[in-house]
Amino acid sequence: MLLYIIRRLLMLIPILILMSMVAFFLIELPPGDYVSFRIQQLKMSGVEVSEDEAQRLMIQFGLDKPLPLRYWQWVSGIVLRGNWGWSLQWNKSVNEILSERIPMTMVISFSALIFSWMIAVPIGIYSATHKYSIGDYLFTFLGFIGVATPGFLLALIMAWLLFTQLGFSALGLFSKEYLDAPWSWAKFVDLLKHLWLPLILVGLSNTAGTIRVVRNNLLDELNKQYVITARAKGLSEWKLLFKYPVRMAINPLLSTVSWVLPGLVSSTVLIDIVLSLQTVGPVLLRATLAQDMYLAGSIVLILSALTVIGALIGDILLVLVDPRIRFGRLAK
Amino acid sequence: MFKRYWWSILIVVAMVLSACGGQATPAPAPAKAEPTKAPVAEPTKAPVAEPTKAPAAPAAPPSKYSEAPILAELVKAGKLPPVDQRLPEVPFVVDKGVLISEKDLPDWEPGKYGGTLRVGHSVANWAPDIFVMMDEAVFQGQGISMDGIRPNVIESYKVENDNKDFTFKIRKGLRWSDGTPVTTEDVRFTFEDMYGNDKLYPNGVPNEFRVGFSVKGEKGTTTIIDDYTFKISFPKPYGGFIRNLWIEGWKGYTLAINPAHYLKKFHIKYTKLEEMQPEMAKMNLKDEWWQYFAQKRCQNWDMTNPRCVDFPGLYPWIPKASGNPSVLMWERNPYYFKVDSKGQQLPYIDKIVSQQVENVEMLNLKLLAGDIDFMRESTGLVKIPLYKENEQKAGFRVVLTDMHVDSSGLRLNQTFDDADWRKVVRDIRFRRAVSLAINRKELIENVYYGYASLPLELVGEEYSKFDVAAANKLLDEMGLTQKNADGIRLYPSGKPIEILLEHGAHAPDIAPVADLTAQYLKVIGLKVTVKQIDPSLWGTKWAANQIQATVMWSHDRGWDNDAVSGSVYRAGVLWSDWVNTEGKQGEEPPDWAKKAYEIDARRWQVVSGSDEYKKIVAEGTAWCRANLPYINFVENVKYPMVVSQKMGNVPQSGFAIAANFSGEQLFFK
Amino acid sequence: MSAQESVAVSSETAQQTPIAQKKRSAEERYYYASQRELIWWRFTRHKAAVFGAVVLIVLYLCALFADFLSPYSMDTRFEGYQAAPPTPIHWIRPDGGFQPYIYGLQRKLDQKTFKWIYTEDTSKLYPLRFFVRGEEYKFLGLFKTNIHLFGVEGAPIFVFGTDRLSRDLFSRIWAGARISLSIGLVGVFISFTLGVILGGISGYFGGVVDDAIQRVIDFLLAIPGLPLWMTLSAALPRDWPTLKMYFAITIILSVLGWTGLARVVRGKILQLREEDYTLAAIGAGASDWRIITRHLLPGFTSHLIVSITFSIPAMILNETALSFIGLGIQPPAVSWGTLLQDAQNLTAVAQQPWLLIPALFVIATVILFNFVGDGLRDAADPYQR
Repeated sequence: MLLYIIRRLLMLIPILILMSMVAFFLIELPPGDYVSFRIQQLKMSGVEVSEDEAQRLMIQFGLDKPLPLRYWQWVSGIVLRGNWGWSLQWNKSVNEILSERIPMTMVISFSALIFSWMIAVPIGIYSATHKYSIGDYLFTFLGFIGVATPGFLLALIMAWLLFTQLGFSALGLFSKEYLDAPWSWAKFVDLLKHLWLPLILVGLSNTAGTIRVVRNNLLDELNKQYVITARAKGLSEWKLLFKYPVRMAINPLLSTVSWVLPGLVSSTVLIDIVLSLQTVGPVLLRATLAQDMYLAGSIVLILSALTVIGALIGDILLVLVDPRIRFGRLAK
Repeated sequence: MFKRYWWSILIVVAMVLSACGGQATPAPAPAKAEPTKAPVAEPTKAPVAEPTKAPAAPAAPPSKYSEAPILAELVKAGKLPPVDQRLPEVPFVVDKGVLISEKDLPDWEPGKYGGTLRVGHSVANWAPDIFVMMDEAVFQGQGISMDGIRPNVIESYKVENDNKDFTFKIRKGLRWSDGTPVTTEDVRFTFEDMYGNDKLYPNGVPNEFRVGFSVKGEKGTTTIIDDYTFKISFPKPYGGFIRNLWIEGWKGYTLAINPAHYLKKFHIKYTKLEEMQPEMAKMNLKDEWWQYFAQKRCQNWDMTNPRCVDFPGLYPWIPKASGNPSVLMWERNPYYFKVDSKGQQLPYIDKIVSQQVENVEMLNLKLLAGDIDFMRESTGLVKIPLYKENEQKAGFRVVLTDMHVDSSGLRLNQTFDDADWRKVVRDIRFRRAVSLAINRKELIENVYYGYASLPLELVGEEYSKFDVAAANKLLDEMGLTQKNADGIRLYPSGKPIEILLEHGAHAPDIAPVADLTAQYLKVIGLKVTVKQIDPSLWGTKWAANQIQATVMWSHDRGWDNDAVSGSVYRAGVLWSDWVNTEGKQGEEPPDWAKKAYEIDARRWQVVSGSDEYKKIVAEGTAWCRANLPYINFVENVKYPMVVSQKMGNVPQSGFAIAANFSGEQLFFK
Repeated sequence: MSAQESVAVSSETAQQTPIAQKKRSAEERYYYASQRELIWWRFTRHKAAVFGAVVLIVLYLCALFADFLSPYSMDTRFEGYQAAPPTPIHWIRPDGGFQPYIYGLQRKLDQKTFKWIYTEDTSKLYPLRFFVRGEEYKFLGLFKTNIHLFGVEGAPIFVFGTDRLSRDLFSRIWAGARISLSIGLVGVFISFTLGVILGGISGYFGGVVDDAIQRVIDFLLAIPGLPLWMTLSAALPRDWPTLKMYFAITIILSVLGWTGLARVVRGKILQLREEDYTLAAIGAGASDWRIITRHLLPGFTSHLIVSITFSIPAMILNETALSFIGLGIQPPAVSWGTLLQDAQNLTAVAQQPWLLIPALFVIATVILFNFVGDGLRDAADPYQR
């Protein structure tokens, strides 16, 4: 067992190295570079940048150095000094940008996840126990709407409706008076006021999948011998349902947390953008478009690492919980 | 009372004189206005002043100038020297018709102090509306034009020796926003230690300091005469230099003057590498001090980046740390060198706050919610009805002004590597036929929502008409009468005329205009395939002569800067290569195209804005009409500018961006 | 994406269908029925799935016959009808008779808001006719014709209004359906091929091969989707013709798609190859190829179909997301994603809501596919109870 874990951990190293390369080179892949992006941006606003100036900017940003060298500087900075590099686009250190954005990202992702469970689990249970009833169809339908509607469009429409109907500006996570205020109870309340819309939108996109998992697992469990036995013994339906089967059906959800979270960050980027949430998502998108490979590469690397490590933890848990899994055989 | 009045007249006279001085060649020495009552403080010669050491008793003789209440408080508290000591001996006086022409802003008035201007931006650390508002150049004209050009951060200037020698005198007593006086040391540092350093500027001085604003132009030499006077001499006439130090491509004074006292801390000549290295390590740098320097230096367009917080500048506002990464903030510069006709130190507005919204649509939603006081860059023509509907509710008004970049034009690359194509596209009849086939009325209505007009200036009335029959007739006359089964005309060689139009969708109008063009040209038997490519790729491909046809904007009117030789670049890339490399690369342009360079050379020689200059500009537009180097779709595209109803000194017409440039005179009523 | 993920978890589960115990004959039929019949019976029990399948087939047929169905071509412009709202269709004539007809539209510029106001000109009515002659097109790319399902003579009809370039949105939606609906199929076909081959190899051979493939899958699954697609599609040479672009984008969207399928296949094979009949076949000396094709593949085709059904809508959604950031299919090609690009602004939401109609098509398609997928999954694996 220990051997298995060590082996998997060791296997992480080449994967992470490969990932850092892919993350870095991927950003570099499209034509152009940050300087051409910046020049384009200046041009849009009327500033003309000459060829000489462009060359000078390349040197200033260190983009004249060969790609492998830049990659090495970036990676060695991360490994040796914990320095994730310097964002070209923001002109500040990647560490700083991430420390500003990661907490809020976690808050939104976690609460969205919990929100989606709060909706999905009851619907899943209801659908499993009332299979093919009108309620089953209706609730599943509602659940599917979340996954079927392009989130960015829904966000735009919701923001507009809230604005026109309630005069409520749903943008960002704080009202302007709390933007640079220190944390206080009032600020927290203000946050809650702004948080619900992103929660619903982000959460909905994840609901359909969860409904399906709960429904199917529960159907599975309900067919098992112990349930039939319990029913035969005259246990009330309610107790019968919640004593074991529901618990068993929800279990798999818990093990998915590790990789659902990083997934949420990237899959909700577009909603975050429309609602102007100060999360990692929009930063990642912008950095990718601007080919700010230190920033984008770092975020991609972190997300991928989280996923890989999450998967590892999941696997280990699975082995611990269920000895029947023949992890040894895979090693053969 | 009289005294004060008399004094400002003197300044205005001095300025008018110096402005006129610029126009005549050779210029008479501008009358140097030496105010009888010099401000109390004699600027110290030492480059480092003591901004903190404020005079103990501010109860000096009553000042000619007044200042914002928040600054007056600081003065009272002893944290700031009195206003007289903060202003240069001869401040820049803003009056009716100075920053914006009287025609565009007929009801200019001295403003009121105070207020926070709320704006928004959608790209991290890039607030173009504010960058333009902050910008200060060496010269200042009305709006963004060459009219009424006058010295800005400099006090006076002389143009001598057949537009070859330019002498500038910095305003005596002008101070950086940290209180340090501006002297020619700042100029010397710029030319010697920055442009002269091959790590910082591998190609030497920027093109602005080369004759004709061109890479191959002869470099100018900069001589420091005394603490306030410096001279730049060129071996050939270069009257356009004035224009280049004012508006060409939104130039700032940072082109010639940079805060030496501050930047020396990051320059290898003045600071040891070891002292810089601890800071450099944060940027993952070891000995690339030039990257570190660049990070610390702020050019005019960098002033919306938080890294420039408290960077010494001459701007009306200075960037301040906001405490929230998505909020950018600027506060008034207590040392700003402009006053209004009543003697009030500018700017009127105390503070600017820009909140980042991740998406342009949401920025507009904020605008509709009344959370934004001024927006230009992120408005859209298509949204005019939306703005109008919300005008009263949100408390703003929509000002329909002109757009400073022109509508998109159709470029047909006459040097594209295809013998058949070259033959037909170089025939003026072909280009005229294309122009006639474009239904501009429909474009104006559908793409510009009615806010544009026919391109009478660059295309002319005759060929901006929509006349398919005439277009077909021209093509038939050229002998392109054979058609294939799909109705596509054939080249004389028998190949069908298929044009690949690649555009970068740089502006919202480009993609629809390109698509519609393809459909218009199909009617006259020309097959056009439209492709959208990456904007930066577009630039590379166009420069490499790999694009056959494209749609792209230009700055041909208004800016009147590149209507002529710029058009040759738009007509045939290899032709302009040939001219730029003096015949080493590219292909020799035909005579009509060469004529453009001749017109342009004359234009750069004479002093920008003079009558002679205007005559040459008119000659250039006539040349465009005669040769159709590229085909403009429309002219006079409007630009909705949305401003708070409470705001004063907002121009009513002219270029929208001029309102930004004159940001220091905006105020809240 | 979430659709695929959930499949990996849920397809392990089988489920029970209550069987009508009372009818003996039915029971008999049940035991003698072929697997295909069983799946079909169970599928039909899921009403929403049946409904979804029918509507989807109709949708695909409509896309196939888009030219015939829509009154105009996708880029015919109607001068003077810029951003016109849907034309109201009336059914009862003023004189009482039943006949679908429309009125002509008049427009006027609102001097205060600079907005075009469209009103019906009730002075003359134009009857709606079927099988009318209109613009010429190539029917299924085979022969030229000009018959359209419906149309109006004398006035234009815009069932869903027009866009900002005065083009008929109804016609454009069906033109876009061709790309959007097929991108799912093509993309899934690519994912399917990759997934089955690699998942099969991984599961059947195990050992180092399995390890390697599993790590590649781990690796690909770990890369956040959007940036991956973004950079890949930004790196595509933009001078490619539309068709090539379309396939390239499909391939990009499938880069991650196959991993989910590969996992399903691998899991199933791991399970099936321990089954007695497989062991027997190995014992009898059957070739790998024969074992895979004869003994293993039939065991999980139903699972594959389920996975595929869930992958298609994910592909369609991803295409719209790519278009949102301007990196998907590019105009002048029309897909639902490019149509939605026009709708992603306040003007559309506030003043031209009909531009949002393509979104309804996307939503409907995705939901229908999900229902069908649910039904298929419930029906799959009839023997495993």
